[in-house]
Amino acid sequence: MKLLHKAFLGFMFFVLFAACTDRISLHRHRFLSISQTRDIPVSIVVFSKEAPVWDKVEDFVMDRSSLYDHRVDESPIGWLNHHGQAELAPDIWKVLKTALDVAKETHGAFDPTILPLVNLWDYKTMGELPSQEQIVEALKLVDYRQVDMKPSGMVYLPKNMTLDLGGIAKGAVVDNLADDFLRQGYTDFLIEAGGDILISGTKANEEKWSVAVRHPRKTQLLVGVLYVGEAGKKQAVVTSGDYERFVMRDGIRYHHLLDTKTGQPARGGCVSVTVIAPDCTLADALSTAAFVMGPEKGLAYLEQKTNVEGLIILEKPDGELEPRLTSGFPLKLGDIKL
Amino acid sequence: MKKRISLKLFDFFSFGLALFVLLFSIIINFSGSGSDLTLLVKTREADYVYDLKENRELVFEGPLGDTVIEIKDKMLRVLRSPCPEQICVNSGWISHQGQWLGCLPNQVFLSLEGKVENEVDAYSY
Amino acid sequence: MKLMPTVTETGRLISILIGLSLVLSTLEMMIPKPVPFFRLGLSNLPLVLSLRLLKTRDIFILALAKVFLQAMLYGTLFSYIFVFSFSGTLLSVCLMVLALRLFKNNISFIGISLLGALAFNSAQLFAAYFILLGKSVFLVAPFFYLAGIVSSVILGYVVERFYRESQWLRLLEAQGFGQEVP
Repeated sequence: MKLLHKAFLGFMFFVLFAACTDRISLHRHRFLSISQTRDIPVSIVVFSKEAPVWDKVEDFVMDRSSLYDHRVDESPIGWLNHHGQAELAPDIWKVLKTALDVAKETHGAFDPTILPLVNLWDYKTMGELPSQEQIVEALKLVDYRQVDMKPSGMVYLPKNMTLDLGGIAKGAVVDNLADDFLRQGYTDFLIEAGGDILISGTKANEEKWSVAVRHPRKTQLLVGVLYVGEAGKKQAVVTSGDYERFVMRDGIRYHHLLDTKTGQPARGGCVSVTVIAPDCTLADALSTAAFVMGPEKGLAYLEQKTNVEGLIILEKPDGELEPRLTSGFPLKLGDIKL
Repeated sequence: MKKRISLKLFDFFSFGLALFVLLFSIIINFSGSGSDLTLLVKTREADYVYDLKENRELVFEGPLGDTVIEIKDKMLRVLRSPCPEQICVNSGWISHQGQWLGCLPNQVFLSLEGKVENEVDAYSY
Repeated sequence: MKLMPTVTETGRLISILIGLSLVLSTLEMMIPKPVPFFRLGLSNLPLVLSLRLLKTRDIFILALAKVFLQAMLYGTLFSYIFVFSFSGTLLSVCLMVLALRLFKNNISFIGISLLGALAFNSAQLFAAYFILLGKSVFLVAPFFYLAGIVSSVILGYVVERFYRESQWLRLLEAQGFGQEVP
């Protein structure tokens, strides 16, 4: 396999130098999407005759990122949080709709109004853990049912409530870029932003894309490699895990995936949830939701969604890790190395 | 007018550098750290695969008798062989990817192969 | 006596060398390659020759003109191919100029051209490593270098012969070109 892979790359190399421009070749670009709040490494692979204009791609990604960022006051979400109402552009409205749909289906396991709680658990500035009073106070302002979306594009928020698309903004930006690529006529590409992956079509010669899922505890290991991709189809692979952002206090892991029922980091037993879905925004929301719901409910939820597959890695009380899969997941239980 | 071309001192320096670069580019393809290597053993009967992590002695049967190999500190050698020439025993240790030891009379062939690493298009985390 | 070529004469020589370079590269495109990677690099002949004829600044002008004009000619100006040829040419010219200034008459065009090829190939491999393929480029590196070494020695030999035997060069020398390595 590896030899084939290398031979293929070697061949690509030769094609690049020996032949010239009018063939489909591999174009790759990596950059850091810099925003006020978080720098996200982005990696893009495109199979096409002409490479995309990477400068424009970088600008696009950064523009879209600030659009979904509630911390940017002039962004639509920032405006909505300040004024309680705003008319959203159709694409942003759609992202919020996806978020609210998942929130409804999961009864708030994923909740875009979670901001007060997130601020309380800001793992970067956190000295003391938040007190129960603070949590109760914050939870009063967390309720996805209070968000009123009109088909016209108008969105209304009750006073003091705030929206945070942080959990799905990365996916939304990736989706936007993918749509932009498709509009420009690129059909076969892979976009990866901070671990969120969207693939479209296949590699050259209709070879499937290989996507590795990292081990949730031993970062240098891989849980397994997925082979995904089909001509003319998009697929997103997103993993949410408790290892991404967390603090350890007294041997307990306080991570960033918060449960709106308890106001605490979710303790359902999940360590990581990998979701395959038709788009990255949805995959983002679903992986977070399933994580918070816990292994049983989370897996059942993913199973009943169409065109969605999931892999949940849970931690048993004795500390041992165990994988659970939806029926159509492109790996077998035996393929998963933990 | 001078017509014969004679190479100058630093021409040879360039040739030396070229040779070095060429050899270096070849070597980096064949070097791998010992821990990632797999030992492939071919005998008359069958093929076997081992890793080099554990120090141990292994015995393989050939037409002349038993060939004993030793794995130690991620290196490998033939310890004892029933063959008359003893070339394999005298070859000493091997430890790098692509190196091999063979005992033709006893039909045991040992080679160190690179471990298959995962080269993937993207990582989900 | 020190004879200096005039500005017009220098300009004319640069233009001739650029033209020659483009003609040679077009010629080379027409010849089928015997082995993948293997290019004689004929279009670099004027560039190598210029090392002993022009001032450092003019050599770089020639090199840049060659890279850009070639890219325009083949429509590769806005593609990764341009990155490869640009970085490769620039690094190899730097190294060749440096080698010539350091070693003066203790090195022939063969050695110079060889050093240039090593720099050229190295720059291309690194560009490919970062832009396109990652680690896998090292797999083809030996073939790449070997092809570069063979073709550059041939090229160096041709330039050396040309430099010694060309009547045109004697004329140029009479105008003051390449009197001494600056």
